[in-house]
Amino acid sequence: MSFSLARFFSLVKRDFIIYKKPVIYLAIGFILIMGFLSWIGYASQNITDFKFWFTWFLMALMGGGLLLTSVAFWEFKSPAGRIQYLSLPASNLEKFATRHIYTLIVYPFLILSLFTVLYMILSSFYPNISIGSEDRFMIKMFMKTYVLAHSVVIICGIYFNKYVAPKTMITGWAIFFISLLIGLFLVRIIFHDMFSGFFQKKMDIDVTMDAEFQEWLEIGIQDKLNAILLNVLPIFFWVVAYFKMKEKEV
Amino acid sequence: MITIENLHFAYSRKKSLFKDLNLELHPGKIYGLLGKNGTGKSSLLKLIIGVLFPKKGSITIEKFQSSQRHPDLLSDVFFLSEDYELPAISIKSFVKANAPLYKKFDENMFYEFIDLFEVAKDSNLQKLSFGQKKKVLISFGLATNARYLLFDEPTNGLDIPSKSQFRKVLLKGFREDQIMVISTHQIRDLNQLIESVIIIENGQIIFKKDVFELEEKLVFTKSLSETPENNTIYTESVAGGYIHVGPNESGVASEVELEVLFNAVVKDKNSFTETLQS
Repeated sequence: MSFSLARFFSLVKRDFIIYKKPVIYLAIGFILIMGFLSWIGYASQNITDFKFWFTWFLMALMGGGLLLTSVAFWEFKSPAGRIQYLSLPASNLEKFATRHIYTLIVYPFLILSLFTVLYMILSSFYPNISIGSEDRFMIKMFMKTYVLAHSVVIICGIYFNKYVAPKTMITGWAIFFISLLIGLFLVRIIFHDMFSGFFQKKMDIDVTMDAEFQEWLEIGIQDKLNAILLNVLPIFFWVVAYFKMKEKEV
Repeated sequence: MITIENLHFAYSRKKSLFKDLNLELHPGKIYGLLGKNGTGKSSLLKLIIGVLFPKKGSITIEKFQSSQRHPDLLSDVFFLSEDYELPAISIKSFVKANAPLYKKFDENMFYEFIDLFEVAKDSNLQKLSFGQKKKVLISFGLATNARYLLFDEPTNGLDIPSKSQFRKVLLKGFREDQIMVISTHQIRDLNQLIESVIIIENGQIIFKKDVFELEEKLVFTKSLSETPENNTIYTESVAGGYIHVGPNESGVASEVELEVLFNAVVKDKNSFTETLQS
């Protein structure tokens, strides 16, 4: 595994020269959309409603960001593109890191900055707009959720060559349903004496949790689970994505 | 040096493309990689640059395994694939974008080749024809000063004057410490360029000889008569007559017709091996 800052910046420069035009068009499109949203907000008298803006923030962050992540390795869509990109004189880690940083750090930062600027402009016109601590917590949670979702999508972006977004969604749903089924079967097997039919609960059994146990589950386990899910799992997935990059062939 | 040892490769489990393939390529030579369609010429080049991985065996370029895709190795390798995609930017921007990744890139050399190929320097890559794009890539590849140059069907899409320009550019850009491998079906375009012939058939290298040795040991005689002369090992009809291939008994070197040689080797490899060993 080798990493050189000079090569990393050469890759960034290369990407900037090659994708300069699409990035400019994207930025102009974004600004136009923001203007349009402000107009909608103004017309529907929602302009001072935090929820209105928060929904669009989420759309931009999750929808836009994950879509961008799915096409982060745009060159992989054709065999010629794959040959050219994989044979570029830079290490797999450098190639992976550049696209990772654009989608994980640069894009969310730009979105956050854009909405912050918008908030500052609006609050100068409408002083009653404010972001409460609960709103800040929600923004923080969704940023963390984006990090987790990003780590999964980037694996798919490397693994799939074409139609990454739909393939990722199908794979995600498939994994979700399979996990759900496995979970249900495990519950059925472990707590077999609580069921009369295949999934029919016996009516005479009280399944209410002990209050102390419930508290331990909610405070002790849930927090730990959240921490693992939002902090540890993304790192694990990034390592997997890097290895996928290393194994990538034409 | 490029060393391929016991290479096994397959796209599917049922049919393997290379079985126990061994090959050594040395600096200072332009190798012609010949083979029928589907014999794996392009795949072999892709394995050498590390965008395909061997199932078994190894491909070593200097101290690196090609599958590692080590940047120090990649900056010394340039591969021109048969199909390619170029961004919608100017030639100058293309150089600005890619050249910093190649340590030994020579910009003056690049523009010298671009001039030789008669491509306008300020052109946008997207507006160039297939052949012109190829000329830009060939010029770029040579200007990288990479020691390993691998070209897959480089003359495809080039018009007649461009083929001659291609030969000139290649000879001008080639150095003694470089290895150039050209995979091609259009052998006539490169007849005077190739220094060593490699023929792939059924997942194996069935023939590997230097053109110099072939010139010494074989004679390619053009004749109006189909009747083979004494010791002729292969006869092929060509426009206006026949070409007979036989052992060179006069000792005077004769020009090797690579297309005839290829057909002859594929038809009867053993006769050739015997003649060349005698």
